[in-house]
Amino acid sequence: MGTTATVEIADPLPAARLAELADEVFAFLREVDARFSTFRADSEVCRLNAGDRFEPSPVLREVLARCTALWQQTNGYFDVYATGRLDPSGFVKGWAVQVASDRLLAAGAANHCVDAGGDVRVRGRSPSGQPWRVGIRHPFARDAVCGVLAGTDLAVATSGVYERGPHVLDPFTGTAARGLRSVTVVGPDLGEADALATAALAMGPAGIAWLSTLDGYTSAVVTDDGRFLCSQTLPLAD
Amino acid sequence: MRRVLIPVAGLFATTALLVALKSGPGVMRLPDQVPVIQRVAPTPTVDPLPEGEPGSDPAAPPSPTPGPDGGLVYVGDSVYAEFGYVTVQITVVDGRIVDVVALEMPTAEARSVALNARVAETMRERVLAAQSAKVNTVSGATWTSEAYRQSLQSALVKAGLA
Repeated sequence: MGTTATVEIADPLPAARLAELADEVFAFLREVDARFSTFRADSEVCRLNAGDRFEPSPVLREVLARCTALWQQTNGYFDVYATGRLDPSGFVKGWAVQVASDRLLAAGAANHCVDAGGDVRVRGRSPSGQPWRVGIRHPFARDAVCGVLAGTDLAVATSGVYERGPHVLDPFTGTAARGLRSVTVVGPDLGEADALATAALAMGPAGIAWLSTLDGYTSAVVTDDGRFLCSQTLPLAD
Repeated sequence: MRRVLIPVAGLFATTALLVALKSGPGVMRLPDQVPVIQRVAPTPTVDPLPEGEPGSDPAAPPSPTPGPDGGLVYVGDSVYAEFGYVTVQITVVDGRIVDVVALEMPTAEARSVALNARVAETMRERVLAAQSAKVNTVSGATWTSEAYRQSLQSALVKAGLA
């Protein structure tokens, strides 16, 4: 998926066990990358785009089924075919981190932070004993944040149009979405949060009203003209 | 005058609607290179329309009104379209339309007007401040991951794969 991942486990487990858990997470993320990468010609996604006829794996079927449900939930604004080719990256990155976090929890590591390219899932407490603190990247100021979230059970996904980053397409016009610079969605499931953030960004200013209708998810938005709006119930640290 | 202007405003309402749906919020101004309509007489009068004129609105303010730069401002009828009313205002100088403004337009936002009360309850605005607070991690593509992506992309180009 062309990104970097970080795993931090704060549980008092033996070092060998911690290394094993971290290795399992990275092995899973590599497996996801091999299956869903849009860069690797032998990934299932690339083979589908190339017109290969093969039996899709159950994992690919599950992901595409969830992407279809999100397409409906977002009135078509989360569209894995927005570019004309299948690209489920807007869901897969968050989904993969969520699955990795679920597996860590099931394996007895209840205090952890998994981050892939800015999609973050935290559970339990940080090594300081305090709730995890997750910054929201400031879309205009390099290396600064515009808010800090704190919590013991958060999925945080941010979709943004940054200085040199890729644009998000409005699937209805095929042109780059305008109006919102970054959208952060916070809730229970990181795959969904990722897709909802991408959809709101594609909607433009109308995405702000739409975000406020979501059940179970809170959000923060920075507009092109530098306004910062967030849910009353967003778990801000300060 | 009004009889001439109504089809003109109608034309622009259609054009503006298409643009507005792509361009987002606020009052929309068409670019300078829009076709100039020459059919408008150079010195429109403020005579009221005959009563019962189709398309007339007895409650509408007198039109035209003097605008800035010596122009005359005409407000078109409010026309109901899907999701809301379209009202177009034009400014005419020397018989040429120099400005077209959509006073009302069912943009994507307008479709959400019914939701605005709920937005006010659930969303608040804060100052966009740049902080360097202590955090465990940051949500949002980081400079590191962007650099990674660019580097990967350049590598793919060099490899003849992109």
